[in-house]
This record gives sequence, C-alpha cells and structure tokens, in this order.
Amino acid sequence: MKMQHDFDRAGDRKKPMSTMFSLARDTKRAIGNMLHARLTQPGHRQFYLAQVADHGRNVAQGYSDADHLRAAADWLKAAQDSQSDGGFSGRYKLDKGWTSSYPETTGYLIPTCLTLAERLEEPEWEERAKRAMDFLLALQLESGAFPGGEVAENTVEPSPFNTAQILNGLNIWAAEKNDANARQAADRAAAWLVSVQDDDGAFRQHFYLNQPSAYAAHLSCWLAEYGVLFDDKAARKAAEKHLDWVLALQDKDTGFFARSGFYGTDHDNGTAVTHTIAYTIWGVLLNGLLLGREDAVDASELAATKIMERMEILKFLPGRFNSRWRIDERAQCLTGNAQMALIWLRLYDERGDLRFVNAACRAIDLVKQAQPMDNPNPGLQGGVAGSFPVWGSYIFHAVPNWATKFFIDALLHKERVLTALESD
Amino acid sequence: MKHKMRIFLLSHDRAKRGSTVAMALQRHGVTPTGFVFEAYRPPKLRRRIERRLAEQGIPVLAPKTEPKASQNGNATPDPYADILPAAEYASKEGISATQVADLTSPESLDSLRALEPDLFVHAGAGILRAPLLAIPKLGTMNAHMGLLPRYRGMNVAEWSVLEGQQAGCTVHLLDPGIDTGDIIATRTVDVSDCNSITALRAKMDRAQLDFLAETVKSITETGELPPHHPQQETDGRQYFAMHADLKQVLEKRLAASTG
Repeated sequence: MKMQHDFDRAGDRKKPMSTMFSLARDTKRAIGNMLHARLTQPGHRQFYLAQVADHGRNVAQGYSDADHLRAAADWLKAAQDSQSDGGFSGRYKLDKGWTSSYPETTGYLIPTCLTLAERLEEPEWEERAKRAMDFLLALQLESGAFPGGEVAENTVEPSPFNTAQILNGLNIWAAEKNDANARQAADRAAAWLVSVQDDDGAFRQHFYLNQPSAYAAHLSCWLAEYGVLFDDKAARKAAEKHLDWVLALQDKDTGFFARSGFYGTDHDNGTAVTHTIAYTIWGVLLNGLLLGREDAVDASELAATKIMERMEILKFLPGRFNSRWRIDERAQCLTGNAQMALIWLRLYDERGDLRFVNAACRAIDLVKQAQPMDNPNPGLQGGVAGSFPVWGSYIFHAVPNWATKFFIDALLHKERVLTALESD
Repeated sequence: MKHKMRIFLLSHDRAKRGSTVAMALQRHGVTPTGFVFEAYRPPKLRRRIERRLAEQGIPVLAPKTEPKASQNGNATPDPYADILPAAEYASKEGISATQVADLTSPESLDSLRALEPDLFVHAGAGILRAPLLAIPKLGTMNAHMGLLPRYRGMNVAEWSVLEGQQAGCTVHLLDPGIDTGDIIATRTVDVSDCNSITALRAKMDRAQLDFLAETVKSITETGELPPHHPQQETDGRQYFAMHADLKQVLEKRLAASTG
C-alpha cells in the first residue's frame, strides 16, 4: 500500500543544527502534531498518550493473541461499516476521521475476510468479503485495470500495483467460490498487467511516481498466483520475467534489494521503509514458491535473515533501513513488522528454521504492544497505526487498514504454526 | 622443574559465574591462579541517573537482585541462589583477585599482561576484544552450552532440544566473534530426564562446567592446548533469546517427554 497524500517526513531529518534550534524545532513540531491530532476527539488523547507512556500496558493486562485478533477484526468491521459502498475505508486519520474506500487494500482484504470467517466461525466475514467483491467489480476499468488511490480521489487512472493487489482478492474469491464474475474480472486484470509490462520485465507504465521499483514483486507474485490457479502461461511467464528483474537488484552479500523504497530519493540513497522492503521480500518468496524457483526462495531467505538478526539484536524493528541494514528511522513501521512476521512464518513453513518463528513472535509482540485495546473510539480501538509512535514518517497520524490486515494474517499464521509445534 | 600454569578467570566481582567456574575447576583439582574482575558497569541510563543522584548527595541505587519474572508473572527460581558472588568466593577461598576498570583500555591490558597468564578462562566477563585475547600464551577458553559450530548464540540448549537435535556442550577458544573460535572438544549430553527448561539448563550447565574443568586440568598436566580446529562461519547458525511462546512449547514437550 502506498503513501499517497500522506505526510512524508523522511526528507527533513537529521540536519546538523544547534541543540537549542533543534529543541525549538522539535517543540514546534510536537505542538503542531498535537493540534493536528485533534486531541479533543473521543479516544484521541488516550491514543496519543499511549505513544509515549505506559507502553507495557497490553503486556501487563495479559491480553492473549485471541484478544488481539478479536480487537483487530472488530476494527476491520468498523472500517468497512464506515463506508456505504462495501469497500474498506483506507484509514482512520487523526485529523479527519475515516477516509473513503480503498480498492487496492479492499482487494487483498478479501482473503483475510475468508480466513476470519473460518477461524472465528463467523459467516458474517464471508458476507463482508462478498460486499467487498461487489464493490471492486463495479470499479474495474474498461481496460481491465483498477484505479489507484482511494475512491474519493481517483476512479479513472489505472494503477498496475493496485490492480495486482485486487487481483489477489479476485483470485482467491474466484477459486474458492467458483464465481464466474470474479474469474472474468481476474482474467481481464491479469491480461492488462501483462500488457503493461516492459520488455526487460519491469513495470514502469502507470507505476506509482513513475519509479520502477523492486517492491513490485508484490505485484508479480499475484500474477504468478493467477497463472498457477488458472493455468495461465502468459501470466506465469510475465511474473517470472519480473522476478528475474527484481533478483538482479539484490546485493548478494547483504540481501538488500535496490529500488525497494517508494521514492526516487530512496532509490538514490539505498533506503526503504520496512513496508516496501517486506513487499519485496514477500513477492520474491511467493514468486519463488509458486514458480518453483529455489533461487528466489534463497534470495528472500537471505534478506529476511539479515533483518531478523538486526531485530533480535536491537530488540525492535526500525521503520526504515539503509542498504547495509543500518537504521534510517527509529520509529517503527507497524505494517512492516506484521509483514515481516508473515514472511518469517512462511519461510519457517518452507525451511523449518525455528529462528524465523522466534522472530515472527517478536515482531508480532511489537505490534501487540502498540495496538489500542481499550480505546473508546472505534476508529482507533483494535486498529494498527502506520507507525509507532504514530508521528513516524510512514502513514503519519493514521491507522491504515492494511496494517491491521497484515497483523491479522500474521496472528492467524502464528497460531497455525504454534498449534502444529505443540502437537509435534 | 615443571612450569606451574598461570590460569586466570575473567569475571565480574558480582558475577556468580566466576564462582561456579572456580568451583568446577577445584572439584577437578585445579585452583585458578586468580580472578580478573572487570569493574561493574551499569547500563548507560542507570549510570546517568546514579551520577545525578550522587551529585545531589543521594546514594546510588542498589543493584537489582530479584529473580526475573517470567511472562506469566511467575518468578523463575534462581538455581544459583546459594552461590556466592565471585569476589566473595575469591576472598573465602583465598584466591587472588585483580580488579581492572575494563577489559579494553591500554592501562587494563598492561595490568593483565603483568600477570603473565598462560590461560584465561571466560567466567562471566563481558565481550572480550582481540587485544585482550592476544595476552595469554595459550589463549582464552570458554564453555558453551551447545554443540558448536551448529549452535551459536543464546539459549542454545533450549534451541537444540526444541529442534529435536542432540543436546551438548563445547569447550572452545574465544575469538572476537560470537562462539566462532576454534573448537577444542564437544560432548553430547543426555537430557531425556529433564522435565523442564530449568532442569535442562541446570543439567547442561553442570555438564559444560565439568567439561571445561576436565579440559583445563588436562592442559595443566600437558602444558599445552589439546588439538583444536577452526570453525567456518557458514557451518553454524546464530541463535537469539528464545521467545516466551516457543519456551512454552518446549516446556510442554519436556513435561510430556518425561511423563
């Protein structure tokens, strides 16, 4: 999920200045942030205070993973119910409240809803997935693409990355429900994606900020998923071509993928937020698994191992890294934490290295600590903010639906792994 | 006349590890020449608070002595509750002790060289750097609670059992890496009778201390290091502190395995 229309504070960090000037700047920013956060709104003050105080509260309260899962699922319900079109609100912003439906993330929330229906034994989640599917089908463009951004800002400009995230939802719904409409939409979306791929395997046309990026591995993996589920050779071939393009960007010593950040400055500086780092690694991993490319699984394992080692030593996962896995920003990207947990758990499934389960449990803990568990505001209660603290550069002052989605996915995967380990 | 081996244990004055290593050596008929105590260095923030308090004439905070609470709130019983801190043990046993400010400064290293050590034994000191490791004639030895090179790092006894692998311990030479120095010997340990992590760690600790002491004794007899072989970095994995959820899985398995 991209950061359109969110604040990016990455550009104005770490300039040398006197302590007094720095203090004055920080104080001014803190006051500005607090005004922006509308602390008079229900639950906002409590949420804001939790960023700096009583950080161990959730641990002290003894909440179980099931409690955290329930709270996160309830937040997702609130995100969908806040809209009348069946989509999930993109985020709850401290300054404006719920934003409009976000097609991209509504797409990949569909598999999460279906899993929740099964795990929680609540058919309501299947109905929610159906509503989301109907919302998406109505948005598909003539070309087969889906629009980027939230519906309030765009319904006409196509986005390959967003189309692919929606394709994931279409794939799973079509395969599980044998739904002809979803299948037809998936066919058209996949064909469009193949049509906009460049000869070298990269995706540049219509791509976010016109930057061909390694994190588009999280595009090609859904194309690969489509190709495998529905036996489409062209889709598999396109996915593999892109996989090769991404693999060529990896530093074979550090495991870092060049161009894994959002911006040109990230690409120039060799930096990235963990959200897009994780998109890249997951995309490479899933492509590798779906296409039978062990080298891709190895490549994802290398990067995931390096990040695991950094997190275990630091005891937290910084929100941004540079290409040597040094901290580029200390504020955590909670989405990235949950995504990395998923990657580690999936790698454990494949490689059997229990250190990955350990790392996943730790990354999940970091999200659990930041999740509001007793906030009176349904836009905050149970949701996972973009950053911790919430004024970190990634999704400044907001609770995006995809952070909660990945957190739920990670909790459910962790539960499966631990249950299997206990029964061994 | 045979040269009397000069063996020093590197520890902290408050560390019980120094005492348990010395006790193991003594059980095997080896009395260390002395202890080297690195001055206790509280964590940075704690040091700052203590300094501020001291400036205000307030005594420094007492060191934390309570056993750590586990995630479920139960206190973990301290199996070393009856062991004396190393400084007290040295005094009781009449073993000499050399206090140094740290193990890295030129002054400290000069003090250590003046001891003319044949062998250092790691016994609860912090991370040892290359200049220090170059001082003793034979090297610096360590006992490790896992089978090297596979199991490097922390909680390796737990990790090996959780992974369904053979538990064991290693006596090795230290180098500046983490558990990457030359391996002198490894020994497997039967932990099938351990019904908890506490029991597992206690058994493994006894085994590694005995193994270390036997090796040191053999060095005092021969005057030289036993054969040892280098590790390749790619031969092993580095493990980290085991998460409470995995410890819980392990506790259940250990309890179930012993009925």
